[in-house]
Amino acid sequence: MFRALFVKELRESWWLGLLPLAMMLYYSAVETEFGRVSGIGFGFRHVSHPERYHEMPFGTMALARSALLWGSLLACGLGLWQTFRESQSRTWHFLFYRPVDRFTILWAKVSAAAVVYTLAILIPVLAVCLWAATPGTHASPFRWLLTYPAWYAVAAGPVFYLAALFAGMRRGHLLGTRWWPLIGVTASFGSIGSSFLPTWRMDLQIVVWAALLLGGALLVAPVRDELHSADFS
Amino acid sequence: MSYAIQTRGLTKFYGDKAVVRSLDLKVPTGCVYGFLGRNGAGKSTTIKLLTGMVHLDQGEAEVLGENVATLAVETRARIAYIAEGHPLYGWMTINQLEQFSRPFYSRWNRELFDRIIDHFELSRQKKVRRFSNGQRAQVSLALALAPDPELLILDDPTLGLDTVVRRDFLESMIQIIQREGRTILFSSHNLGDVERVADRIGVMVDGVLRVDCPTDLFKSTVRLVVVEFGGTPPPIAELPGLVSGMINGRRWELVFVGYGDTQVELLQRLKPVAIDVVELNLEDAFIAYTRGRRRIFANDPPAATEASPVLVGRS
Repeated sequence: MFRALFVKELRESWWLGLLPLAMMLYYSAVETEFGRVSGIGFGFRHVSHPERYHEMPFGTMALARSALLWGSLLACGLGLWQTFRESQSRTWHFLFYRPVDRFTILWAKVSAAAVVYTLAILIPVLAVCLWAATPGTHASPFRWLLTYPAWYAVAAGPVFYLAALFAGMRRGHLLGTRWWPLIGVTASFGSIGSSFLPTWRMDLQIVVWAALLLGGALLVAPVRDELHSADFS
Repeated sequence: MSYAIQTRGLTKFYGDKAVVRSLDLKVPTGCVYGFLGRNGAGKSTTIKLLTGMVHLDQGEAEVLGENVATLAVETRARIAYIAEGHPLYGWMTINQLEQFSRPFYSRWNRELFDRIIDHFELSRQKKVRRFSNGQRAQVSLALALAPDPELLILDDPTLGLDTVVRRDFLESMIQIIQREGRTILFSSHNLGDVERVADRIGVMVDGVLRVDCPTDLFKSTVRLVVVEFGGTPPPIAELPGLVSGMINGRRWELVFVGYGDTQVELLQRLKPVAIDVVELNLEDAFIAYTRGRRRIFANDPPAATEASPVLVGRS
């Protein structure tokens, strides 16, 4: 059952990861100077950030910012696609009536989104981190703490996903309260792009938001019904 | 008698408006039940309440002996539901839809599914979004029947289908399901369909179940009575079993449920020139029953009386 739901979700949403993946690959290439090292083409980093060409990996935070931007966009896209699309095409009727509990449906959606997000955002970041941590790949010092902004950005994505999923699941006006979770998360994370200072408050922020939104989704999932005030017939 | 569906005081509000009011519905096991009503009467909401797609506000409902509020997954597997408009995943082919649906059901009958698909001559490789409305209805039917359901709940399954497809759909459904003693509840706007296949009908009017009786009884009990007067007719009085009426020139045109001696005697006292009783087919009876009341009654039509046995007495 779970497998059927998971495969269905994956087949419906995998393509959403293509553009973010392409952008993350580009910024990964910039960060690792893949073009120069491999001799293919020319230095991406040199082109995109000529003034910072000689900085050490993660020094420009371009990858972290890219992960935050494309990760949050992908996450919002996944969350809304998985909920609004079902709602708009009325396939909720078909899906909700499968003899399976709502939590299984929810976990299948979350799992499929996690796979897409991991492949598009997390793996490129991880690959760059491993490259930077490997001795001999670049002539600059490396500490894992330097990768904190990138990992923070990666961790923010699931919060955006849960906010979008929750916004799509819960009942509310299309031009109103429905969007509160997303507005709250966006406002909360909005200032991060320019600072990325590793503090416990930032970690706590992710944990609290994720817990609140996941809790909300778990509360709404079993009681969400197909209610259209216009549909009285 | 056992009931596949049983509700007591089922009520649902949309905002301040009660779209289903104190519904006491009983659908006997093995029955084909036609659920009728005008747009906005509360049919779809009732069906959604019965399938758990919408949560009830008051009362209770049981399907296959289990409360819908706590319907077990295993019980839901024994109840097929076809939603209005046949919402299916358009990107899937029939084979993919089957692969997706099969794991949810322990009693999935692959042979039956194949037989229905072959019967309707549907392409298995074609994406569902490329199918016509009628073909999507056929796919929905195959998916609904393959798990071998004991109860089939269909929300206006033939809506938007042409006559030939509609008839083929209904006949296939009845042929496959009813011979095995299964129960069907289906809503429809097409009275011809209902007349053809339903053993029993329920008529919802403004969220209230006004009629719940065998189809033939409803047809035989609802009568149009034309009362002709010599001069200007008097205002229409409330009479036992009268559900609607209008004054047309020198005539009263009255629709009765359970027209009999009592009504004849009361009408004769008015000294009319003539009284004609007209038999109605199901469609005319339904229209007269559901449309007419607003014309003469400020309030609800008269409640059930002995003279109107098919009425479900509720105000």
